[in-house]
Amino acid sequence: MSESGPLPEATTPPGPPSDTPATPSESAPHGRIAPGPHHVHASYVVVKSLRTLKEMWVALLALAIPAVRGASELPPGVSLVGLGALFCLAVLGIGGYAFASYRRFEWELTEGELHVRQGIVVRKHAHIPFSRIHSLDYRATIVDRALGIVTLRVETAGGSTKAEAEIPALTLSEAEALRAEVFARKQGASAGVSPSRADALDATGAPSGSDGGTAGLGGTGSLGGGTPAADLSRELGRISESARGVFSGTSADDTPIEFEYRLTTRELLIAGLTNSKSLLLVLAAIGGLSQILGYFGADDSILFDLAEGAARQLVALGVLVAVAVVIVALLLAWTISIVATAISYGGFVVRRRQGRVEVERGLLEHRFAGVAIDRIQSVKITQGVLRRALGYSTISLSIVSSLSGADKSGEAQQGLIVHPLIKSSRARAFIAELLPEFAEAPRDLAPLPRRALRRSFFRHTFWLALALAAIATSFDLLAASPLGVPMWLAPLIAAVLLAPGILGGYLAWKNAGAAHDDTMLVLRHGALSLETQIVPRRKIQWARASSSPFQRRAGLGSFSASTAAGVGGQAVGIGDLGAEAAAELLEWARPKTVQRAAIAE
Amino acid sequence: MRPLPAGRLSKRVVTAWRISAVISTGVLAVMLVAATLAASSIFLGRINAGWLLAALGVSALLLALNVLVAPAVRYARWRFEVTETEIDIFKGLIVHTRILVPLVRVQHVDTTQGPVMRALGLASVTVATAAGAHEIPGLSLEEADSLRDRIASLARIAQEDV
Repeated sequence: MSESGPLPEATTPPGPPSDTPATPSESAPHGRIAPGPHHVHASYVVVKSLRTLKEMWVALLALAIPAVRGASELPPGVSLVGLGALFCLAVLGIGGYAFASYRRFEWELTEGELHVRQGIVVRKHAHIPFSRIHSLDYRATIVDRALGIVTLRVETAGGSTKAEAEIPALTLSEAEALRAEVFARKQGASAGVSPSRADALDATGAPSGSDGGTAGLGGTGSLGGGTPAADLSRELGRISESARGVFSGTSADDTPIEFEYRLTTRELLIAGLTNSKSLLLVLAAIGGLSQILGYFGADDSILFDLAEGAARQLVALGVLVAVAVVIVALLLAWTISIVATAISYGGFVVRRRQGRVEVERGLLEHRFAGVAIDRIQSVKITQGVLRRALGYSTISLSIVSSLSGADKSGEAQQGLIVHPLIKSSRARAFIAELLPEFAEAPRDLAPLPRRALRRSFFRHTFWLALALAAIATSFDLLAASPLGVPMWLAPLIAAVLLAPGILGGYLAWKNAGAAHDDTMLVLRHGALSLETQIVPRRKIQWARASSSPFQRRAGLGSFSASTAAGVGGQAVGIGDLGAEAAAELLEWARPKTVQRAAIAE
Repeated sequence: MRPLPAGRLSKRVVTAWRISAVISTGVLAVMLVAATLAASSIFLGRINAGWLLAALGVSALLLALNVLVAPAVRYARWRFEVTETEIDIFKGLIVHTRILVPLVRVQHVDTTQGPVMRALGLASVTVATAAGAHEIPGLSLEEADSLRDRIASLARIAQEDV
């Protein structure tokens, strides 16, 4: 973050207003949050001013530069004093604006709603019923963290990527209290409506006393497979958690934790080494090295004929230098990638707290995201090429666009990552501990029928073959044997070129699989990488079985199921099942309860 | 395998699809012929009769397929049924598709009419879920209205099965 370097004048004296309502960290009459409107923390004025200054730094620099360069170079009619006055005015204006928006911003918890009032020119007043709130996530930049404040995002149903409301500069304990309060009231409200769901929560919740839950921490040792106390990353995570910042207050969420897992240093490092960029780096390095070697190798006959001795050594030196440069560049890029991973996943903790999963991560910028179990659309186990080779997986949850909004990175689309790097053999065990609801999902997947292998070859080679044929014919038109290749070799060359497609087709066929029991569907696909999705039957918005003419001839069919994950839904599917298997899956997706007879009329 | 759903679209939908196809494929055909003429005069400096004939032939073939064949096949294939628990659809010109939308997942249902459909007294019923919408096109007005109301009332009382 570049916030360390702004101009000293930037920190407009916040002038802590004397009439700020008391922060509600003291115990309130009903629940954890005092009734009545609340302001955000006063440090908002500073943070907001800094942010505005950061956005306007170009303009401010334009004002400041002449001052540094001296009055002699000023255009006529502009005086240093005038510029200075303008500069001060700008800074004062920014500070004043921040102060005014701080004064205007109010939030309040009423009987059934969260109210947020804000805006200086355009005033906004948002009423958000608790029942509609799906998640309350928060994040803190490094400055926020030092201060102990967070920005809270309130997300509601509806699938829009924009958060319904944002409350900036809450103290950490206020944010925690607000979360706990809202979810407690939400649960209370829904318990009246559908007792069955509350029962389900109880069954999985198993609140074994206030201390029993946290004692479950010991369970993490079994998963880490090491001594957690000695681990640097876990310690750092704990330290970063206990260093709550200046104004944060004491921890306010006292709901028992049923399961907690912290990423180890080893896992963090491997995650950095094997993230998706690493494969590209390795490939680029191999490409670069072969290029260098190929270059010198191909030219040596000419070069070495020209001048023996000295030139040979010079060339050898050149090769060495080039190779060294490539290796150093690779190491550097890789290190950067590892550091980036360490920063964004450092201090990674995932917790199960009653009906919710919470993820905290980030060494510098801290992120906290939570999702109700009920909102999980599917659980995804992803194995990238490198990670699969090393036997590791990533586990993520597909949810209805909630993590998105501010960060539209590929990572946000991937869903909420609950374990960035886990031994593939332990993935299902981890899911069972974090999400007991998904523990029973079937593990033995039925492979695709043998007759689907031909389709898989066809799918993976068709376009490649077509392109090759097109190239071949166009060369044939121009010259009978373009590259001096004898014609009888052509089929052989084609076979070699098609080999990756054939291999991919075989692997895709071999890896694909599907299984289901009463409540869960498990699908797996991928050639070199692998992706396994666990979809609860209840989350399927609609299902589809289809067959192309080719598939019908071979007695095959495809099946896909759409959930509400992402923005506007996401389909998971599998191709080239046996026709009867696809039909059976569709039958499985069909609602089963026979409704009351009266409904028909 | 479960039998296909029983409901059929209105026979008039074939006419509606044909009119739409004449318009869309007609535009495509005109563009194709125009592009051929342009290419011919740019690259050859004259109108090549062979190219023109080929373009006209392709256009005629496309028109025949899209206007004469496709709507009839599509109509013959289209089946739907709304039971007490789900909407069942079977359709597809080349790729046969069977779609199942549980009524508990239905968020809202509308009837819509394009200009062609309106001229023929037809309407479509669109069923929206949290993961996209599905359309049952080409029903008579009364049928579309009653289907919409039926889906709406069934969706309201449909219960979550576990």
